[in-house]
This record gives sequence, C-alpha cells and structure tokens, in this order.
Amino acid sequence: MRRTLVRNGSLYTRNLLHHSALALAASSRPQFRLFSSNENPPPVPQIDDVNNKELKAQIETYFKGDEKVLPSIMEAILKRKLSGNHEDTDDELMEELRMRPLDDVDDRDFESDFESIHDTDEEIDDLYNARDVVMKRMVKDEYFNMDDKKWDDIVEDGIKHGLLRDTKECEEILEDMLSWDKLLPDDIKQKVEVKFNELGDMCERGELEPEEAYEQFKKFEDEIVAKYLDKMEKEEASQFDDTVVPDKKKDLDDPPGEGPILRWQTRVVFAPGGDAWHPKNRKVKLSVTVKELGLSKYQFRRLRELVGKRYHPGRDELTITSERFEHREENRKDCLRTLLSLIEEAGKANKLVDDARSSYVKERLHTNPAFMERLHAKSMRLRESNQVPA
Amino acid sequence: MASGSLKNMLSVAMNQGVVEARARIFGHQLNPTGMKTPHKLLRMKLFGEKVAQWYPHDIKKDDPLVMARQEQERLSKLEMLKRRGKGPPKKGQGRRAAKRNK
Repeated sequence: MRRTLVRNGSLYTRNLLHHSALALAASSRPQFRLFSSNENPPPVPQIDDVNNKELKAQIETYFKGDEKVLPSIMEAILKRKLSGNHEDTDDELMEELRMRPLDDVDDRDFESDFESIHDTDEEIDDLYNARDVVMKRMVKDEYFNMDDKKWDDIVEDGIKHGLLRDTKECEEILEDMLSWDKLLPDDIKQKVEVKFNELGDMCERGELEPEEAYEQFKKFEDEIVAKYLDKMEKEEASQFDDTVVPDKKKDLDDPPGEGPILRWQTRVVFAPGGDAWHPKNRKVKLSVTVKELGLSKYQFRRLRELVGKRYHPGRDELTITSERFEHREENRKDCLRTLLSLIEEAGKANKLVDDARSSYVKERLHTNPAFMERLHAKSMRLRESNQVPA
Repeated sequence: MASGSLKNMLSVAMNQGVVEARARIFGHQLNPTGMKTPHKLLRMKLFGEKVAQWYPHDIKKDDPLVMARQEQERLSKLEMLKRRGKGPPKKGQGRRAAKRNK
C-alpha cells in the first residue's frame, strides 16, 4: 500500500507542476483525501481501473495523428467514470483539453455529403442590385422564375415546331399515371392480394423466411404481368382481325358544325350602385344560321316570306331582336319563343304544297273526259256487284 | 303552260296565310282596311311617373308649419297691395275683358 501511495503521489506532483501555484493550493487537499479513502475498498476494482499513465499515453498517440485510438480512449474514459476514483483528475484534464484548439479536423469530410445532398443558392454580392441580378439570371437560364404564361408560351412553341406532336397521347399517359390504381382489372388485383396475404401468413407462422416469400411474390407478380400482356395482345389481334371500326359518334359530345347554333348578343352596363338594372341592358339579339335549321326548299321560302328583312342572304343569317320586356332574361325567352314559332310556321309549307299539288292533279283528271267515262263505268260495275248479294 | 300554272299554284299555296302568321308571331297589329285604331297609344309604355318626376320633390310641402307661414305671408302682402290700390282687379274690369268689349 505504501508503494502505491508513493507512486500515485509522484504522478500527481508531476501533473501539478504544469499548473500555477493557486491551482496547487486548491487541488492538493481533495487528492490526499482520495488517497485516504482508497485504503478501505478491496484491491479488485483497482484492476479494472485505467491508470493515468495509460490514458495520457493514448491521448498523446491520438494527438500525434493516430485516429484509431479514439474508441479505446472513449472506453478508458467511461471506465474511469464508472469507477469514480479519478473525478478531479478528469475534470482537470477536460479543462486542459478545452483550452487547446484542434487543428487536424477536416471540414471537407463532414460537408461533402451535405453539399451533394442540399443545393443552396449562390450568394448575391450586392443586394441593392437585385433587379439586375434577376434579369441576368433570366437571360442565362430560360426556366428561371417560371410563370404560367411563360410555360404556355413554351408549350405553344413546342407544338408549333413539332416537338409536341401528340398532345392527346401525353394527356392519356398523364391520366394513367394519375390514376394508376385503375389500370389493372379487379380480378388481377384480387389475385395479387390473395397471394400476398397467403405469403404473409406463412411468414407469420414461420414456415417461410421473409426473403424466400419476397422472391416467390416477385415471381408471381411477373407471371401475372406476363399473362396480362399476352391477353392484351390477343385482344388487339382479335380487334385487328375483325376490323371493327369504333363508333366515334358516341364519344363526341360536340354538336355538328362549327361553333354554337344560337348566337346571343347582349349588352351589360356597369353602373355605380347596387341595382344592376339599366335600360340599355334590356335588348337581346339572337342570330341563327338558317342552314342549321334543316329546312326543305318550300319551308325555306316560306321562312323568308315570314321574316322579311330579318334574313341576311349573304351570311345565311336570321336575326331576331327583342326589347319588349323590362329584363334581359324575359327578352331572351321572347326571342327563343319567336324562333320556335317561326320554325313551326315554316314547317307548314310542305303540307300546303302537297295539298295544292294533289288538288291540281284532281282538277286535271276531272277535265279529262276519257278518264271520267272509265271511272263512271267502274263505279257502275261496283254498284251491280254490291246489289247481287242483297 | 301547265308547268307554269303549277309552279304559280304551288308558290301561292306556299305563301298562304303568311301575313297572319307573321302578325301573330311578331306581335304586329293588322289593319287591312286602313282605319284609325288606338293601337299606337295602347302600345306605348306607361310614362306618367316619368313625366311627374321631372321636377324634384320639395320637402317644404311636407311640413304644414312652413306652408302655413308662407300662406300668411302671401295674405299679408295681398292686403298691403289692396290698401295701396295695387290689388287684383275685379271680374270684368281687367285688360283682357276690356279688350273683348272693344
């Protein structure tokens, strides 16, 4: 025991020589107390403890450049902490290390990943000149400060120059990506789900390893996809063989012709105040292309007689104006009612013409004597045949 | 000749009743005899309120005290005129009546 005390005392004196006299006076007392307390415990924990010499040697090797020693140093520090015999010495050591700056640390090693992961904006030297900076960047990079209008211009240019030829196909692909859940039919989804559940249950029971289950599921998925592709190819082949022409009329929801059939012209006057009524807002003008109405020759001529100057033959346009009521919507109804009445009235022409033609034919037959004789004889014969059974 | 007559007959039949139909659809008033009718007056929109609101509303007429004071002033002024011999003339002695006698 005396030998160990002497050795420890010599170590402490060496360490204390580095500090000033005040430090000597402050730290000498607790160390001696520690020495007196060491006599009581048995020598077993001292064996696990790390000496000051060993720790100092490891720290010196680390400072010299050997970074592999760092874990062992940490372990030593932890052991000393757990033993609790060297608290004051470790505190002094921490103070020493805190004063020393570390020159060997490489910042690049820490920041290389950060720079590759996160791209930060370049710093602007002169913030008072932000407008010029933005203009320069816009000149350099076409896609800087992207705007809806700019994007529309880019798309328009692409369509003009032929880069974006099939816009509908692109839209279809985007829709498929948006609703990818609905691409496959339901029966295939159910099959995949059932298989997945089976494999999951087997894993839970312990019959299969997760890796094997994953491989089996992958094979199953590939088989399902291959079957689906074959099915699609067969369907396409059958369609091609049958030369089935799809009925496009069902898909189109646009009426035939270009533009709307009824063209409305109204005026909206914005006046101050809550009431939106204004006398100029009453008038409504309705234009129709007469060809769209599907009238026959005689109906068309009757319509022209009915409407008079309202019909413009150059543009084949019929214009109906109404300002009879106080409110615009009432006038719109009146225009529509007038148009329907005109169409109905023009439709009567066919019947009138047919009646006139038939009456003309009857008159011509009446004036023909030969026909009248034959008709008379025939009627007489019919009467005689009728009288016989009576 | 027959085809000509047939075409004429068809055109006449086609345009049969066009005038009455036009009048009914567009709301016209037929007057084949050319007599005077009140349709023009009846067709006009009611514009009495529009004419009446030509002059703005005078809120003095709503206050009886103000009207009474004005009436009192008028009467007193008339009395003063009569006292000075400047009041309104009696019936039959005015300028127009005198002119009529001549």
